[in-house]
Amino acid sequence: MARPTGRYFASVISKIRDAKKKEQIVVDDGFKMQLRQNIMMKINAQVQPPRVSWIERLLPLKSYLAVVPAFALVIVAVVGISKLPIDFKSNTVVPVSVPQTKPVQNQTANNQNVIASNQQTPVLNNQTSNNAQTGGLKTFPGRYVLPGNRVADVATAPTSNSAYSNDAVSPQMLQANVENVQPVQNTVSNNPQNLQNNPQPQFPNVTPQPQQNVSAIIADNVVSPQPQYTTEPSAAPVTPVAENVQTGLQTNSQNNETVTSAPAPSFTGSTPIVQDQQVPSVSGSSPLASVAQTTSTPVVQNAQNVASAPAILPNSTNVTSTPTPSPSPASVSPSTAMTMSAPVLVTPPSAPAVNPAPVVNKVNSNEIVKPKTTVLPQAAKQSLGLNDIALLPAEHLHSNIIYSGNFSTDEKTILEKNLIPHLADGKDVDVVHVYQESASLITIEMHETNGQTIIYDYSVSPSGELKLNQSIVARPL
Amino acid sequence: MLEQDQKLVQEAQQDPQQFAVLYDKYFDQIYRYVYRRVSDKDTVHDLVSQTFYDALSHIKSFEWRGYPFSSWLYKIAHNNVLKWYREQSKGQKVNLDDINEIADLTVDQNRDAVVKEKQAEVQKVLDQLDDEEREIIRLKFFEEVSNIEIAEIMGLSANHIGVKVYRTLKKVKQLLKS
Repeated sequence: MARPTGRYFASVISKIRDAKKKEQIVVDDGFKMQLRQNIMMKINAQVQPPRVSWIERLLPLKSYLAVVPAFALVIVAVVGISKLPIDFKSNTVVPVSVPQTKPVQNQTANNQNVIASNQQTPVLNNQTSNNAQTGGLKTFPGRYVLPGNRVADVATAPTSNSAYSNDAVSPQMLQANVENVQPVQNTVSNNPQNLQNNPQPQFPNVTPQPQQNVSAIIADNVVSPQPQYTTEPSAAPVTPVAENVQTGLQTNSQNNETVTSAPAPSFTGSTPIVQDQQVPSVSGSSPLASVAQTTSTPVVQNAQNVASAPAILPNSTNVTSTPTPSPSPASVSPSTAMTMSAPVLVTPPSAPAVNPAPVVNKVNSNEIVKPKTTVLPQAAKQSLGLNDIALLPAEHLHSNIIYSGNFSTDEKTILEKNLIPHLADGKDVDVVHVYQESASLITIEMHETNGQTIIYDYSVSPSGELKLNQSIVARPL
Repeated sequence: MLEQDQKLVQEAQQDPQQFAVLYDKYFDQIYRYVYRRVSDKDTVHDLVSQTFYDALSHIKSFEWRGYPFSSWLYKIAHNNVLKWYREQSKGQKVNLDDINEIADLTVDQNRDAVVKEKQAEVQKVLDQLDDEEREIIRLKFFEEVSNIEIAEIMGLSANHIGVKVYRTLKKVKQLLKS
């Protein structure tokens, strides 16, 4: 109770309190009780439960009512999902848009550009990447990742060339074969006069162009772009004699008036090696001699002076060969002879070298023996290294030969009748891809059924000569 | 005291039947308070009845602020008295004479003559005060309400009530001397 404590007002406060005490206010109990009853009556009137509506009765159940719409949503969701055309028990098949096939010509043109720019990166080229982006399906050269059997499957589809680019073989695939793969070059000079009537297996459309770095399309870290030639003295030189060099020739040795030191294909001790033994091999000391005895069909028409490995030299009278192998493609004599270096299987380094020895082989130019199974002239055949191989018809291949580039009919004929059968001999080949990488470069891919792919890079000289720069065996990963 | 009031109020808020307890406890205070301000007995009954009906109807909205429940009842009664005075046009001053007349009905007829003299003296002084000062003095010394409660009842600040109490006592002292 708040009470003033000041002494100043003590007298005043005391008087007021005395007045209060003297004040006698009698509370009317009757009024008090009556008012109390009235209040209680009013309270009772208020306490009476009001009429409860049905909504209020449902309020306690609102928690349960809230479950109803949730359950309904679940039911709707389940029904919706059940109606979806999805079979959970089976694998879902996602449709994949197949990219449109790009014409081979365009691809070749692009590849030429790539080569011309000396782009040596053995990765997906731009064309392939573009195809992958625009087509919605990522594609890449099958040589890189696909196993051989898959490559063959894809290769059989002519419209799927986009999956094959002319890039280098996968480094992983080639790494194992690097050591064993080396090019061999057989340079043969021929006497064109003696072979005047021989058709020239030249590529008429080839324009003179300096040799380009062939390895631009192949991983430079895989195979050396330049053929390796070793000039070490051969331990066991093999001198192909005329008889031995008659490989496939039906010549009259009696009429061989002119004895020239026709150059035999020079094989050095470090002859390249193709690991796979399926490639026809010229091994050891007598690569030519060994096969010369087994071949009998090749023919050289009007060959007067044919060396052991004659080529076509229209403007030269005497064919002389230099035993020294050409150190580089550029050192090849600018002749019109077709020069080819075929892949050769040689047993590794222990294989004795083949020294180019002058071969004396007299050929009677008057005696013309027509070929039986081949249309390739003998000189060309020999230049292709086909002396020892019976030419097989194109039907030997299991599937088509796919060309990527502007090949003329004559060129295709030469390739299909001679070179490709030669390359495919002894192999179970599914498909052959021939790429015209550039005006002076041709790449042939032999896709075998066992998944192995052999890639041959041929350079085309201005005169139309084919020269094998290197061959690579790419095995499936 | 406060805790008991708080408990009773909570019970009355939950069960209106419990409001009877508060009624029985504070009826006499409110009755005297109104009785001191209104001379008419019927008016006192009307104002007291209206005060408790108002309290009953607003008991659920009552917020406990730490003051006694009686303060809330005084405030209701105060507003009702003021309202009644406003309704009586200029309002009626509750003077001690009227109170004495009402009290005379209940007090013993044998009251002391001295007491009557003293009551008359204080009553005369209070009559000379204005309404606010007289209300403060009655609440302060007759109802024994604290300044805070007076401030709550009259709607003023506690400091203002303290100043008012000081000035009113000073004025009453001067009046008593004179």
